[in-house]
This record gives sequence, structure tokens and C-alpha cells, in this order.
Amino acid sequence: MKTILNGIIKENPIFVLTLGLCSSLAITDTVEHAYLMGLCVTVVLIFSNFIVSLIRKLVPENVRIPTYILIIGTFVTILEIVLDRYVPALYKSLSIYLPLIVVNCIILGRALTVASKSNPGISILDGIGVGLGYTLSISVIALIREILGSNSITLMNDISSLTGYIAVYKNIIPGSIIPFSILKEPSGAFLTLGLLMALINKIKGGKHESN
Amino acid sequence: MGPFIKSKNSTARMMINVVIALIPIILFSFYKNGVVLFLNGYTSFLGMFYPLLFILVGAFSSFTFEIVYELLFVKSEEKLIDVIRGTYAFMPGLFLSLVLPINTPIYLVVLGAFFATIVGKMIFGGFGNNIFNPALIGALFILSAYSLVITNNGGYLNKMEIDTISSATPLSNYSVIEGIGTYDEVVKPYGGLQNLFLGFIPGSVGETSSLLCIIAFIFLTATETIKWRITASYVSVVFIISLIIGLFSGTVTWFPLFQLLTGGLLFGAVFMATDPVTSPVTKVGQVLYGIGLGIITVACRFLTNYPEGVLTSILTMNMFVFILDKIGVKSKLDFKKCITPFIVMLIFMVVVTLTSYNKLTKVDLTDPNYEILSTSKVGSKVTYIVTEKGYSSLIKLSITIDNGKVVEGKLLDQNDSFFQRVIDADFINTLVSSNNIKDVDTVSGATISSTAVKKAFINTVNDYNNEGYKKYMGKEVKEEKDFVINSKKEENDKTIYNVTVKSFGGTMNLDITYSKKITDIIIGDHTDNYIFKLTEADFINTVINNQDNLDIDTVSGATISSKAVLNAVKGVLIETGDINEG
Amino acid sequence: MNLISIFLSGFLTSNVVLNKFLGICPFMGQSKKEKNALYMGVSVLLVITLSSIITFLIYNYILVPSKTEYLKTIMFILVIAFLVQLLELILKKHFHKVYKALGLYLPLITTNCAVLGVALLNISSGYNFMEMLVYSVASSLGFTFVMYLFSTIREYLDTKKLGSFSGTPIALVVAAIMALIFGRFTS
Repeated sequence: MKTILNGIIKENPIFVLTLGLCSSLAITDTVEHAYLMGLCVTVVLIFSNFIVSLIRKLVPENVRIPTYILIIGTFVTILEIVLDRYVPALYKSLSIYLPLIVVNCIILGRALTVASKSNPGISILDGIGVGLGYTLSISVIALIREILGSNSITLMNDISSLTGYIAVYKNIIPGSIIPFSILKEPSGAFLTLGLLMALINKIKGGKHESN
Repeated sequence: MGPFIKSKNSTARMMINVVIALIPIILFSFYKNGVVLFLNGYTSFLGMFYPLLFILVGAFSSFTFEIVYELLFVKSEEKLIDVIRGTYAFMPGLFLSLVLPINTPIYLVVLGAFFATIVGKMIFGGFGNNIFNPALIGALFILSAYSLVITNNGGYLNKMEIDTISSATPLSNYSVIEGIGTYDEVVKPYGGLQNLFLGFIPGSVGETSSLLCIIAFIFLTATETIKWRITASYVSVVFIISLIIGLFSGTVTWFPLFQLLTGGLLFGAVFMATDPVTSPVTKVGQVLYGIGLGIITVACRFLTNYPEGVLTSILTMNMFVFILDKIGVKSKLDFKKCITPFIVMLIFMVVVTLTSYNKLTKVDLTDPNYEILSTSKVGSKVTYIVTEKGYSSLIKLSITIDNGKVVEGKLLDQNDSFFQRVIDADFINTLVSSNNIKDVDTVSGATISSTAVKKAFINTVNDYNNEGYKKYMGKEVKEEKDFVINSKKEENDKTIYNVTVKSFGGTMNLDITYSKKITDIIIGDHTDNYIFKLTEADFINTVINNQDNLDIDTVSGATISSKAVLNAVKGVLIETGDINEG
Repeated sequence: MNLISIFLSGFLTSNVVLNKFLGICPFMGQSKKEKNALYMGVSVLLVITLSSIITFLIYNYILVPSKTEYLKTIMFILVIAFLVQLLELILKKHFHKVYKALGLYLPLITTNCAVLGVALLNISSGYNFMEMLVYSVASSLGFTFVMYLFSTIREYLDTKKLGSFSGTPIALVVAAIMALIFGRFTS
């Protein structure tokens, strides 16, 4: 369980390791896209960590990266096919960022630093932890961006064909200073993440001083 | 970066000089946007001081934000008083208020000051460390996020200008003109070049008076306060490019001057571009900086959708300052090394001049905002159903031409904010009965909407002359309904209707619950900024309680939104048979 | 959409880094030295353009006719990995100075989201061959331009004491401002 917590806090992929920013900034426009993307990344991460860990002793040093990329690519393709079949609306929303999970530095990074050196059990736990950390982080970013930028919270819209529910809440905050529409745009994604990171650094810095 | 070459005392003197130079400009704004309004009965005695309040709020907000930030986050060994004295914390907010439109809601000025001070300056390490001009950062955020809110509050025109001047700011007016324009179309609506020079034109709070900016420039250069090379090269480049374009298009008498005296160019060139912290230090760097500014401003004005140009160009060139200073330093040792950048700049200048000239003088035979939906012919009369892009919506018209002359024009549909003025001015009938449509003046306070209607007429006549209408004969026109029922969900003894109605800025989606009568109304998806006013006035409950007689007063300040809700309710009641259509 | 507007959108208004968030990892982390940014940019330009052409051809003439579009992800990444290996070999042999300067960052081009991203964007935008070519060149030029500009700014920022904003946070805020500025050049 320590492994899992490690992935969420100490080695948080977004705020600590600053990996995988590409997709995390792009799909944080609604909360739904964020946690679903997080789910996808977690699934791929767990499976890839598992397989990489199983074959870790068989892969020679110099073909490691291409091999791992192929493994990750396979799982991403499977995921793409499944999503396109069952929730095409989601598949369309995620657009190029779904296949881009293949080059997501988090998954390859974890494969190289953890899964290739640890047994399958730990690798799976690490996958769960980092994946959870990733999902929570981008969900927080998306929550801020969506509430302040579009004055809404979308929890279930694109996958409503599968689950049968729609959960979209509009007009959370009345008044005309919200929505601050820059947060909807790419610029807002950069801004939110930058300010959040600075805040977290500030809190961490404060902790060090008090220790 | 940063004015560390001079001592603290001379920095103080520089700042004092800048404030001195700004005083006439602030007083002029007070006069134009306050005193003149009061003398002509457009505002009360207290309302006369609003421009001063506006500027004061800006300056004070940025001052406060900086002090709070210093106290909370900066562990400095200096005493707070010295810090306050050394940072001129009011400057970003002061300049911000001078760059924003007078009708910007005050809370947005405060928000802008927050961005200007905190995001634009403090997080980079405070005074002397920022990369971007802080006031312009604040303006960038506010204008990007809230342009619709500001425009609906009145935009750049003060209360008197809306009534007396027939257009938006000179540059936005220019951007809707076909081709390169004529003196009558471009300058005369503002009273002539002298008005542009003196500053009695719509614009942001501080930027309109070219005369006062020139006086400020002379003063600030004589006191060695600002980097005059930047201003000189910036203005020269804009003038040269406009002159060349003017020469080739026959508008050389007024076009270059028009470009110089509008859009806040002189204010930006004198005060904003010369900001000591965010502009180059080396002489060569400064000249290159000014040239770059000129090129980008011209490119923005003629080739992009944001016709002001000055804000974008200064912020863009801010990014290049490091590179420019490196070139400047290198050229001090070896002058030949700086020839290349100048040649590069020259190439850009030529490209921009040619492209702008091309775009401006191209008579657009195909207007991309114009669309023919269908045509029909009865005898010799051809009736067109067309749409033209208006201010915030598509304007749908029916235009009938008989033997080459427009005989009838009818408005079918629109959702522009200020269109009522076009209707009140009986504009469409004026167009129909005029001998030359191009000569008809646009409607004051609804320039873009009336220009769109005018364009629709001109484009239709063009098409008639080319006999293009035959292609559209008998085409089915998709009826864009005011009210659409998207879905109907039946649950136990109630029905929930999901409907879409036209509303402010687009459409509004509502869920209306009906159980023998309407019991609930929930507003969903919408593009409307003013819904909160309906909530404040408890409008929904009023509607539910008065659904037998829908003659309810709309909420003040949210008329279109209220009407949209009423339309939705009416539509549902017609569907359930409770009321009869009509 | 004519070719000039595709070029302008790929370079400026829909800039690969500032608008589509591709290629951020090298952007945030390592764009410190000016010269490196230029070498990196040229390498990326080559890889993006070549990989776009090859993946475009493979997709349209092999995958689509055989109805195996879902294989594009794996196909594309293989092509890119191969091209990067090739580039590495060529640089090692003929341009050793550049090879040394780029060091570890060269193989990292394989995992650079921009390369795979542009290849995927070409497909999803439905471009024909000429449009794809223009867009690929425009995007890679846009990437290089932003990287270079940013490295000069980063060089300056690294000399400042920024407290909790130092490092990635301030870079992100600068990127936010740059994104807003670039977005104002729509025509």
C-alpha cells in the first residue's frame, strides 16, 4: 500500500515528476474527460507494467525502449478499439490524445525505472499508484478549469450512451465575472497548472521550513 | 533588463516625469468622458467624475495587490516603506486603466490590475524583473476573456458618442469597410483629421489625444526619460508602410495620417513600448525593436481579426527583447554583424506592405459572410432569401429585385444586440428606396449590424447582375425555428420537455416540467452571460406563478434572456394545448 | 482551405506547442541552451516532415484499403522510432558535433508527442498530400520557433530568484501568456 501512496504523493507524475504534461493539459477541459483519460492511462499503465515486469530478464539492454513502446502500443490500440466500439463519443472527444498515450512519458518512464527492475506484484501496485495519482491530479486541474472557465461541471456526458446517465451541471457560480473564459482555452490550461504547481511548491516549501 | 544602469534616484525622477506627462492626458480624458457629457446632459454632476474614479481604481488596485503580495510572499530585508517607494506599484494599474475602454465594468478593472501586478510582474520577481509589459498583460487577460461583457456594457464609446458618432472606434469602423476606403467613409464620420489629432474620437480611456501624446514625447525625450529611438522607429515604420500603401492606392493625403492618429498608436509608442524594464537596453536593439513593433502593428491591423495592433505587437516584441539586446551588444563590437537583422526586418516590411496592399485593395467579389439560401422568380421579380453575418448573429433578409432595381426588402431573422436601432431608423426601407446603396449612412450605435444589412443588399444586387440566382431556384430553406422541442420524457404523471430557444449570444437549453401545468423550469446549456440576473430577480418563479398570463415584465438588464425563457414556456404551453398559437 | 492559411495556422494560431500541447516535455525541461534549441529544432523538423510523409502514405495506401486503420498507432510509432535511429546514425557519422550537443535528447525525439501528434493530426484533418506537407513543415517550424524563443526567455529566468515559481511553474505561466499572444494572429 505504501507503493500506491508513493505514486499519488511522493512521485506524483504531474506535480512532482512533471511527466506526461502533453495529454494532461489537453484533456482537462471537462472533469469527465480528465478522469476518463486518467482511467485509460491507469489501465494501460497497469497492464504494461505487468508485462514488462514479466519479461524483464529476457530483454537485452539496447532494445528495451523499442520493445516497451511496442508493448504499450499494443495495449493502447486494444483500448482504442474497445472505446471506439462502445463509447464513440468519448473516442471522438479524446481525439489524438488517446493514441498519444503511447508516447506518454509516464508509462514509458515507469516501465524503465520500476517495472524493468521489480517483480510483477510491485509493478502492478506501482501502476495502480501512479495511475491513481495521475487521475486525481488531472481531475483537480479539470475541476478548476471547468468551474471557473465554463461555469459547469461535466461528470458524465460522452459515456452516457453506455451508462445511461447524464450528469452535467451548469451555472454553478452566478454572476458575470465567471466564466473566466481564458481557462477554457489552451492558455488557461498552462495558467492553471503553473499556478497550481507554484502553490504546491509553496506548501511543500513551508513544510520543509517548519521541519 | 531593468533600468539598473541608472541609480535609484534617477529612476524616481523618470517615474515622476512619466506621471507629469500623463497628467494632461488624464485631464483630457476627464474632460472628454466626463465634463462634456455633463454639459450635454448625458450624466449627472457626480457621474462627471467617473473617468477619474476609473483611473484611480486601476492605480489603487495594482498598488494594493502589490503591497499585499509583498507582505505575504516576499521575505525582504528592506522596510516596507522603502519597498513601496521603490516599486511604483501604482503604475501597471494606472496604465491599464488608460488602455481599457471606458465602459469596462469596474470589477474587471480590479481583476485586470490583479493580473497586471501579480501575473505580469510580481511572480517574475517584482519591479525590474518582468518580461512582459504588466499593464498590457492585464489588458490582454481582460480583453481576451471578457470582450463580450465589455461590448455589451457599451464598449469603447461613452454615453454621448453612442448617440452622436455613427460608428465604433475609427479602427473597427475601418475594418468593416470594403476595400481601402475613402476619406468620407473613414475619416469624415469622426469630424475630420483634426478631431483625430486632438482626440475627440472614441477609443480607450487615455489613448485618443495624439496631440497630448506628441507633447508628452517631446517632454519625456528632452528630460531623457524614455527611449526615444523606440518611439521614433515604431512610428516611422507605420507611417512609411501606410504611405507606400497610400501612394499606390491614391489615398496618400489622409491614409497614413489616419493610421498614425488612431488605434492608440502614439500612446502605445510613447508610453507602453518605452517601458524601461521590458524594452531593449542597447541602441541597436531599440531601433530593431521599434521596427518590429511597426511591422507587427501594421500586419495586425490589416491582416488579422483584431484591428488594434498595438497591444499584440508590444507583447510580441517583448518576447524578442533578449535576442535584440544580444544583437545590440554584438554590433557594438562589430558593426557589420547587425546588418543582417536590419535586412531581415526590411524583408518582413516589404512582405507585410505587399500583403496588406493586396488585401486592402482587393475588391472582394465573394463575401465569405454572405450566403444565398434560395431564390424564386415571379414574372420579372426575383426574390432572394439571404444571410449576412452581423454583429453577433446571422441576419436573414428577403430582398426582391425587379428589372435591376431593388423593390422590396424584409427582415426575416436576426439576433444582434443593437439591431433595434436599425429597425427604429427604418434602415432597410432607406436602402430599398435609395438610388445608390453604397452611399447610405450606417446607423449610429449599430454600425456593424447596419453595415451587414448594407452588404447583403450590395452582394445581392451583384449576384443579380451576374445572374447567379438561377443556381438557387427553388432551394429548400431550412427554417431556423425560434423554439424547438428536442425531447419529451414521460415520468409517472409528469412530462419533461427539453427545449432550445434563441437567446442572448446564441441559444438556451431548458428543461421544463409539465404536470397539468408547468411546475419547474431548469435552464441548462446556454451562451448567455446575463442568466444570473434572472436568478437574482427570481424570474423563474414569477413565470411559473404567472403562466396563465404570460404578459410578464422582463428583467431589466436581461431583456433578451427573459424573453427567451418566456418563449420557451409559451412554446411548451402551445404544445400541451393549454394556449392557442397566435 | 488554401495552403497559406494551413501554413499560418500550423505555425502561429494553432501552434503545435502552445495550442495543441504537443512537445511540451522538452519545452519545459531542457530548452535552456540557445544552440541546443536550434539543433533540436532542425532535427525535429526533419523527423516530423519525413515521418509525416511516410505515415501518410502507409495510412492511405496500406491501412485504409485493408481496413486496418486501428493499426495506425503502432505503425506510426515504429516508423518514427526507425527514423530517429537513422538520424542518430547519420549524425554520429557525419555531424558529430551536433550528435554530441544533443546527447540524450536525440533518442527522446521518438517519444516527443509532437512527432506522433502531427502524424495523427494529418490523418484526422483529412489532408491531401500537399496540405499534409505544408502542415508538417509549418508545425515543425512553429515548434522550433517557440522552442528557440522560449530558450532565450528561460536563460533569463534562470538568473532570477523566483521562490515557489522557479522552474516549471514560471515556464508554464510564460507559455500561457505566449499562447494568448499567438492566438491573436487569427485572420
